[in-house]
Amino acid sequence: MRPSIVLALAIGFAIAALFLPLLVFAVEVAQNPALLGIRVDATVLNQSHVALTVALSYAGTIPLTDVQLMIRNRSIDLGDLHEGSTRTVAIPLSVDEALGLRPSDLGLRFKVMGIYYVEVRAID
Amino acid sequence: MTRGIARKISQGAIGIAMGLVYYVLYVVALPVAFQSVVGLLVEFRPPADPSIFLALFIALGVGEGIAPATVGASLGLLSKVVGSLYIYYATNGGVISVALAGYRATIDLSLLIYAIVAGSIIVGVLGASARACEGASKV
Repeated sequence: MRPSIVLALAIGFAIAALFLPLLVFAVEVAQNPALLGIRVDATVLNQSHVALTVALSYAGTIPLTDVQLMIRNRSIDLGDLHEGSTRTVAIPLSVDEALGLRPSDLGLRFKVMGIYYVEVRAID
Repeated sequence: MTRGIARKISQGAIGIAMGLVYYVLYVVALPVAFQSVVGLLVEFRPPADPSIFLALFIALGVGEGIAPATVGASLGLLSKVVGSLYIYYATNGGVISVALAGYRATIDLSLLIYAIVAGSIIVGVLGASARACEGASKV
């Protein structure tokens, strides 16, 4: 076999290996859109503030690293998520701020297996 | 004379086929891979009308087929560079948007796109240099 063909095959395998984690993650998301579940609840703290409790669960096989929850301009580090992981954070907000929240103000950032940066935002 | 013309015509036909292969590989296969295989609605933004790329790939393929070895090798490499640039610009430099039910996801695939572009150019340079060497040894 020619060295150039061997190198072309090696490059092809390297690209396929690089693509595999994202492909598995995308297929899992396409099969189960609730793979990365987010539940948001609000609890009244006092007359001026509420606590927004965000519960995050992940059921995928590909680890998600550097997970960040974004609420408006704030971002909260949630670490890494593996299969079956759950994270719950309580975010204190003023009542006005909570009432003015729109779905697109909530977002999630993470890296698929530490390689591919992904940002997910709800559509208003 | 007639044999020479027939040879050039067959080389041109092979070039057209090669142009179609490059077009299918770079312009058709990538969106199909995402939308049919993975099942995600990815927004691709072709840098120009895809028919322009079809014409360009066929022209470069025919040139690669009928031109002398060194020039043909360079045109073959140019096909791969054009294909790589198409992928780079169609995917917005590797940053693509995906629409899911009620959500919009932005995915940074730049590392993968750079690997495809670099791999394609490396394979193109090796193929072109091998063809040029073969052509030089025949002379």
